[in-house]
Amino acid sequence: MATAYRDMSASELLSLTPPGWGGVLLDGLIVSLQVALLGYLIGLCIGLVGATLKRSGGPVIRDLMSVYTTLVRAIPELVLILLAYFAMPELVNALLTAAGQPRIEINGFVAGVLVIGFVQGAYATEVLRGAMASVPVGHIEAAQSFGMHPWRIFHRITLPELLPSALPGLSNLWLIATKDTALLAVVGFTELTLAARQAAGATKHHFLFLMAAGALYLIVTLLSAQLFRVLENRANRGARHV
Amino acid sequence: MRGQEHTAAPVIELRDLYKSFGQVEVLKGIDLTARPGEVISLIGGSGSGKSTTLRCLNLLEIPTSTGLLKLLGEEVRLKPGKNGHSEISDHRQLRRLRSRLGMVFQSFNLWPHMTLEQNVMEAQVQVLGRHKEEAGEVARQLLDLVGLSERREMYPSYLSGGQQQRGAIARALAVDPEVMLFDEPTSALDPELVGEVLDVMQGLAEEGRTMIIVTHEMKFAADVADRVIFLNQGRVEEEGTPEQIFEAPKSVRLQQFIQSIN
Repeated sequence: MATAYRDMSASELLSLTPPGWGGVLLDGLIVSLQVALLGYLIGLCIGLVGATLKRSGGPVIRDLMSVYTTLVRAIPELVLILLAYFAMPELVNALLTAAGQPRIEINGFVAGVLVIGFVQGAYATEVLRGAMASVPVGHIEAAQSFGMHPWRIFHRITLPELLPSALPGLSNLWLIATKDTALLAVVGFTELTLAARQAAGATKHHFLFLMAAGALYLIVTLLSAQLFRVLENRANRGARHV
Repeated sequence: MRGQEHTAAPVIELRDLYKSFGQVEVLKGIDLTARPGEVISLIGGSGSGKSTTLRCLNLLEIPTSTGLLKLLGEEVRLKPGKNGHSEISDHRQLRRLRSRLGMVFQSFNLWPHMTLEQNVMEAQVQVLGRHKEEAGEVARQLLDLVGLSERREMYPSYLSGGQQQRGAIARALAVDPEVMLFDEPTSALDPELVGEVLDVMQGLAEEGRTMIIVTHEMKFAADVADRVIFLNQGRVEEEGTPEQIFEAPKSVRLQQFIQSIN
């Protein structure tokens, strides 16, 4: 096999069907994007709740939030992933056993989603808090003066009005989320980076496969930037461009 | 309306309104009654409490305490909250009452991500539950009324202050409010744009709308109001017809105030 790989051309090696490793890379990419997307969405939800609490909550809630952000800032994400993958299942299962429940399995996918969500949540809280502060109080009062329900005010007024200032930050967070998935390689979870390393190791074509992985990350970034540009243009539809 | 006897039940009844911001007491026992069709002007120097009084009427400011606040015949339910301040006790009631009042702000507060027409449709759809077609039809009529038919597809940032304020008046009218509240509607406008907004307001007054107007435009107050209330340091200093207030002011404060603006 090893000899065969040495004589293959780059396009044969990257072919989607075996013996090419392209299919493995693409599968890895899809898994990476799934982890990133789920983690990002969880992060956004935490961010929305966190930003709202930080703006309106009492001192206890604000202290809790700052403990959260400090933890995320202080602990390397790699450590968080190791914690989520190795330490958290132990703890959860100890609790489950004590409660007489069956044990659960936490795989790399779940650990990745949880860690990315947890980390993104802290940063999204800050991005959204700042963006919420940029919405003029009067615009909210105008909606209140009509007797609009708070949920509708959030959905119809606050959210669309905070997007122009939030989207640049949120776009950044999304790109960070896609790259953070690479950290899952250390727990043996086959996302794009580990898939590339496996292909490289099997074929000894390190340069080719790591560059291919890099190129895929780059394409994701470029497409994402394009998508966020469209979103920003839409969010800024009422703004005057001088 | 002027000169007529107002016998119908009041649409707004406010007694003994107190409001503090922190340690500062800005309203010290305000009484205000508005009957259907009445146009009332609140005047006074800056810091006299006229805007705060208006904002307490639709509870954008929660009174620290009040003897009575009745909107459209219904007593607004407040409950004692923290630090001796009142709180809303029935949010559903408040939303229902608010939906029957229209408010126009000093800084227009049109929603920037919606076109003028969408601004005027929003509360109709989201609060009254009207269908979009109907709301759009109402919006077009009202924008026509305030002279903005040509601009209905435009976003607020492309409009002048006067146009935005006329749009905001149309937006407030869209829910068929029983009382219109105006909070210094011309104070943020360039002088040459004040007239177009006052014209629209005068038209509404002539239609017999109930309006409470906080304003610095004394000539407008004198021309349009049935009753003028002069506030000073959080109290009603003097109240009467425009003639009584502007031509025969009794209190020294009011005399000084009128002198200072002439």
